Amino acid sequence: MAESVLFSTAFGVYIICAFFYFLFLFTTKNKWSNVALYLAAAGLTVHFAALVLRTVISGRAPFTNMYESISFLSWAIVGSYILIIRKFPYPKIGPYLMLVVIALMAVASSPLMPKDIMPLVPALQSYWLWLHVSVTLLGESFLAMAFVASILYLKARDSDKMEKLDAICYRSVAIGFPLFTLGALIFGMIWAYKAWGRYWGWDPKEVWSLITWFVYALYLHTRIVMGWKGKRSAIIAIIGFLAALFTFFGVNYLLSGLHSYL
Amino acid sequence: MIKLLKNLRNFLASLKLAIFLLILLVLSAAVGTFIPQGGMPEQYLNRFGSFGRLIPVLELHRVYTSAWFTVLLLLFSLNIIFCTLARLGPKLRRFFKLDSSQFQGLDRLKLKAGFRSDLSPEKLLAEARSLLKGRRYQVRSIVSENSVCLQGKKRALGWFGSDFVHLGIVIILSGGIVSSLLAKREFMTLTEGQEALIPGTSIALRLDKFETEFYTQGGIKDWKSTVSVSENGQSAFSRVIEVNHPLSYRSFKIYQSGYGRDWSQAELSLELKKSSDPAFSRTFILKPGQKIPVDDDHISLISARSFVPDFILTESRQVASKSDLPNNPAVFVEVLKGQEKIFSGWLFLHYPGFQSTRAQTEPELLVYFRKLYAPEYSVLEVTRDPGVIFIWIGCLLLSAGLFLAFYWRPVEVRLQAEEIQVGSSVKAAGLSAGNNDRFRVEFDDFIDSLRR
Repeated sequence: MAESVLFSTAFGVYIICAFFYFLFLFTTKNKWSNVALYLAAAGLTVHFAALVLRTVISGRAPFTNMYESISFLSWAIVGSYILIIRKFPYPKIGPYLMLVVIALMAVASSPLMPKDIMPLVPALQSYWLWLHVSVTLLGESFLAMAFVASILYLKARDSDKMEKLDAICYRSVAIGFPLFTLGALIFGMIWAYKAWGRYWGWDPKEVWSLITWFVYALYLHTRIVMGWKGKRSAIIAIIGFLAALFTFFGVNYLLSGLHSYL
Repeated sequence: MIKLLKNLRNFLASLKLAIFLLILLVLSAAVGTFIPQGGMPEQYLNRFGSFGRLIPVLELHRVYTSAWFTVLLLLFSLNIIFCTLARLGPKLRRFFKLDSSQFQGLDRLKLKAGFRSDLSPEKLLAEARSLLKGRRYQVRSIVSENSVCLQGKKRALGWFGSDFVHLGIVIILSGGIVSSLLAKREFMTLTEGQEALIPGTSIALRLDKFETEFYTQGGIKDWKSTVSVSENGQSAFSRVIEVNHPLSYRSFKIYQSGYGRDWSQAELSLELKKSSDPAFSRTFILKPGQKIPVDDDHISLISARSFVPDFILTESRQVASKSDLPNNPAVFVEVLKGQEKIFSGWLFLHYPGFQSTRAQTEPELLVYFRKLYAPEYSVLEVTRDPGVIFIWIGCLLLSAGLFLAFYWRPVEVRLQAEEIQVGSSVKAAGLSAGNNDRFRVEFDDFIDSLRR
């Protein structure tokens, strides 16, 4: 109960944060973006308390079903935004990023998502649950940053703006890609070997993680070796995040496989 | 001929091929997740119509083990190897060797400086060396008659990040090949007390105990098999195998893979009653298929003709078992008196009244299916996969490579000082991987200090 109050509070704070970000966007007064950043940090703290409380109550990792995973991902996205924005002060990305966060929080809040704490099936009882899922979702949160920056890049007309967005996108991929590789693919293979007796089995979730990884490999190679920048890079980063989203949602709801722990 | 080989090498080492292969791998891997894998040709015909006819021809029903996908992966490996080798040679040379040719065209680099100094080249060299060493650069130099060349580098291993990544991927892919050719997996089904050899070895596994643990609020918590391992008849040790905790023994890994009940060894408890004599009751325990002769005035033989754990009537009105779970256990029983069949019919564990409701008048003999017991068995998966070690080595290299490529950013300072009438003329340049603002500041700072 207390956990859902904290979750809803965090959700509310994120909505107010987005409101101030849009106020900043329309008035171009920096004070509003500063207020919004503080609100994002406040929401992050309350949300963190919700995650900790759930961990304490359930006695296990707070990402074992869709509701918990989406909540954790939203939290990680806000966290990675605050990290990136300190290095690249470009608050105009804030309003759109908060929209993504609000959309995810809304999906998590939907009555279609069971929120009860269910006992863990034997296959999930492992410390690899912590490592595999948390590192993957942290990686994906940075890839979400790259996604928002890329969409804004495609809309932008001012070359100074475009350069900043391109840099944010690349920096986010540079953090997100290694984390995703480690969490999703490497930790995934180790855990699969421990739990299922094979490190790779072409399960749809495995295949889509690999597809996501290939798309970002494409992003890096076209960029670093072939010198692609800007528009084409942005499009690849967008496709990459869509693949990551499909790995996360689509595989669970549209395809069947070993990863259907809902 | 040589030209042809050269062309082939250039083709395999090209980045365009890499990009083409990545796109192709993405598309074909995705196809395999939308077309159900491992079905029979007829299923695809029913589901996809005339396109379904093409699916087995193009091996789209088993994309990941198909010849064309394997060729794609092999080509991908070759591409990575050739790409990496083509770039590795010059990199290694630059890493280990230092020659004056590296100092030509310093003024064509992006980050550069040029100035005149009052110091002689030798003094300037000493000064630059101490400045760079203070900033933890590794410094090497070439001194010739009237000029000096100096190279200072930091985090130089970072130049090789992508090579580590590529090597890791190639090793992982070779591990995959080794696994697909040599990995063995066997399923062993054991009931408590049963012992069996791992096929092809003298290692025996005995299941001492099998337990299913439940949560207090319902749901399965764990399956645990206590297994004794012995080799050549000599008992080695005993250990509990559970989900997520396989047992490693020699080159084998033994997993808790499944469980179930051995219905062929079920014990069916049947009770006979008479409507005319309420005090009469006799209980028999039979296995499926078993007949028991009875020495009694009323009955001569009772048999459990067949048993199903989950009774269902198919469309053709045949009895079948819907699943292997005891959802609706049923037994077909026959009771004889002499040669006369006095009872024959299906009995249901969960519906004891079912047989009597069928009869119009109350029959004399009443038969009840009272209890059911079947020994539980545990399914252990025994695997031996020599490819695994490649996978872990590859993963280690891949992780190290990603770290080097993104977070161990190499920087290098090159400086050349030539003797002029008074002092020396200096050219310097800075090299880094990608845009590195911090290094730009450091380089400018170094040049300023040197000028002073």
